Amino acid sequence: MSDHESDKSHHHPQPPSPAALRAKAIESLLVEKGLITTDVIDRVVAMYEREVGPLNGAKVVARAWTDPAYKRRLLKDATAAIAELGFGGLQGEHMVVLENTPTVHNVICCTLCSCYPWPVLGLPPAWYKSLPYRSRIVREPRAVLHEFGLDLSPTVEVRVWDSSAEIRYMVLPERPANTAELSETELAALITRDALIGVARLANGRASEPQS
Amino acid sequence: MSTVAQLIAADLDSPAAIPRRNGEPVFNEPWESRAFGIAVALCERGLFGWDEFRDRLIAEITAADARGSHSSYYGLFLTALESLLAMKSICLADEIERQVEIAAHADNDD
Repeated sequence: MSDHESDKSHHHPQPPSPAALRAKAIESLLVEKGLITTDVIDRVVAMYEREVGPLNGAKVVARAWTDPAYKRRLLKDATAAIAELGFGGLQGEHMVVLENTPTVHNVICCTLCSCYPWPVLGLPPAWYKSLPYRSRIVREPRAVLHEFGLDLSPTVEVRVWDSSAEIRYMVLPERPANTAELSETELAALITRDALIGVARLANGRASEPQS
Repeated sequence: MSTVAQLIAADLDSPAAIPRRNGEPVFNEPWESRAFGIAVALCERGLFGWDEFRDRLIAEITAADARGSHSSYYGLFLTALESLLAMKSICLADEIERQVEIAAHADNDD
């Protein structure tokens, strides 16, 4: 219960706007009528975000893959490097970009509520805000990643980063193999939201092969 | 990708095109994504066609422009959704008002 309370005070500093109340009213009315479920709406929004993609974050990663000097700046001061590409909107919080390597895998969460780097990743997926993800990813990251279909070799170190009001994280995934000829724009199209959160790796066949 | 999502993704520059920043849909507040999700979900259930909804939305945007209103895109999106729900007798206007009252009280009780 204490979890729920801290969650609430963190989430609702202000009463909802009239529009938020209307949207909520319409949703509950349609749920009551059996025309819709909350899960269906979650799924629609999540699907839409997945299809359209977190373009800003993807562009940052594609630039880092193709421009080593930019990558250095990104890892040193992500807030400034992201602003170079014209993506702002951060409200005083600092961005930190975490580089995945063959031996280190990063994953982000927010154990307290749902702090999330909106300007680069868009809207957080519903599961990111769920209590099971928030509590379990810290306690048993490998089990949670397994449920996302990501099985990491025991030799890979998993680092879990807990976002806060001051610091927002984004993962810099490994560049997939066999992408040397792709342009920055083509590379950006390969990048998924889940990879930027760290619950997936970018598919190229190599990632899923057992590492012996 | 579902057909509805394809229609929405393909609409880049009509008056009803969803707000984007560098190609990505922009939701400034969580309720905006809920309103969006409700409209798409009802459309996928076949309760109305996406073009019917889009026509309503364009009508709301045109009317807002004509009266010099600065309503936000999703504010008008919500108005269009409410009016289509009423036109199709899916939710009547007074049902919605009643539910808004309930939601407002529920929030006060928190």
